[in-house]
This record gives sequence, structure tokens and C-alpha cells, in this order.
Amino acid sequence: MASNKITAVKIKIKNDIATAKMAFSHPMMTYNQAKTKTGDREDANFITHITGKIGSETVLDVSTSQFFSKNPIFKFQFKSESFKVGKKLSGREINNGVTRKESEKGDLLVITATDRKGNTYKKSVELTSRQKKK
Amino acid sequence: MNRRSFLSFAGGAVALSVIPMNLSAEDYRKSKPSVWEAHTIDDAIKAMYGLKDVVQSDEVKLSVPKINSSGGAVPVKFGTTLDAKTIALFQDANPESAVAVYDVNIYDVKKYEAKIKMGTSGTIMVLVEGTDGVIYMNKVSTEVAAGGCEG
Repeated sequence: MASNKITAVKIKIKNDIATAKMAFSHPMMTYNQAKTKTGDREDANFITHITGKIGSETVLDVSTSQFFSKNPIFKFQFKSESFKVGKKLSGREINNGVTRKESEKGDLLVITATDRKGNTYKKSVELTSRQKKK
Repeated sequence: MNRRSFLSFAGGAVALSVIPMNLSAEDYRKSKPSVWEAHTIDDAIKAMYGLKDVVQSDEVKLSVPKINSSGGAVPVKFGTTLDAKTIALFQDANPESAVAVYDVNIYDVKKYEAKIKMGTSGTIMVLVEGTDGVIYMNKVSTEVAAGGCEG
């Protein structure tokens, strides 16, 4: 059985709006599916709560149910103006060994998800953009 | 009590009521368990908001394909420009009605996308609890060729 996890979190920032897409690897097994599979409704397991935090600030808070698709993908948007958006290096810059100064790094978005069985999943992604801040 | 201590008590009481919303995360699975047990949209609404009236509004956006080949992954795009406290996604195509409840924060653009399961064709409803205390709603019917709950 593959272990459940947050597979990926990706952010695109444009005009001070961040669009975040997060993908989970999780069966999101409903009570009925559990009953069919193992005979026990209590084997149902699905993500019940997801938060997105940048430092102590909450940018996402959603309580969820068994009715999201298996291996769910969620998309949400938040205003990024108050947060530090780092400079995104191009492929060529990375290949040329360019590294960023601390001042060019962005804040981290930390996604935390809990499921019905009490497992917790966490994934962080840096806020970055190619665009110059206006 | 003398005037000075009365004023400081009143000041303290006011400060308590101004706790910024974004410092608290609200897990509605824990704080409102009956929402998730409701078998109908009406019961889910009552469990979530109490006996408030619900008002249809075009400011509550919801888009779903008219027809879905699989009920296991129905794409839903929803949101609102209204000032909101919570945004709920309910449907009547599964054994229970509540799909999700978003607790809105000050950074929230209130535009969401996800894929949901629908056991049968039915109605999807988005409810926006406005900061004005009104519950706004919009809904869309959608068809499912093969049910996705038992997959």
C-alpha cells in the first residue's frame, strides 16, 4: 500500500495574487467503500482538515469530507501582498550556478492536512515569482 | 468598585472580542460534527447555520459541467466576491450532504477548485455565510453517467 502524503504544492504568483494547487496521495475512502472492501465502516479514511499557513498567518482553512475524489487536488487563491515573495531563478541561472542571497528568498507556505485516522501530513513550498514587484 | 478599576475591566472585555480571525483555525469536523452527519442539504444547512433563511445570490459563483462521465471526479469551481465568514459546499447526490466548509481568512480570495464524488446525478450547492449575517446560496444541477461513491 502506497503511503499517503501531500504529493506536491505549487504556487504561481501574479499581480499580488497567489494561486496554489496541492495534490494528495490518499484513498479518500468513504464509509460505504470501506464496508464493501473490508466489511467494516470504521476502516474509512479520508482527509478531514487542511490548513495553509505562512508564519503564523492562515491563508487556507478547510474542513473536508469523504466526498472529495481519491488522490484529491485542491486549488485556492490568496493575496500575497503582505508576504515575502522570493526571486525565482531561471533554468539557465541555475545551470550557471547562480545562487540567491537570503534577502532574495521568499516566505514559506506550510500546508498541514489531517485525516480521519489522525495521521498528519505536511508540505512546505517557498513563495517565488519571476515578476518584479511593482 | 472605584471608577478606575471599572474602566480597565471594560477595556479588557472589549479587547477579548477583537481577536483577529486569522489566528484561529476552525476545524468544523470537530466543532460542528452534525453538519457532516446530515443526510440532506436542508439538514446540513440547519446544522451549520441554525434556522437562518437562505437567500439565492448571483454573487455566489459555482460552475460544474452539465454532464460527467464519471461520478468519481466531478470538477467544481466555486467562490464569491461577497465578504464572507464561511463558505460551504453541499450536495444531494451522496449519503451525506456536506463536502467541505472553508473558514475564510483576511487573505482569502475565495476562489476554489476541486474534484468531488457524486453517487448519482443531483444538485450541488454553495453557501456563503456573509459578514452581514445573511446566508447566500447558489446551486447547479449536474448529471453523472456512472456513480462515483461506490468506486
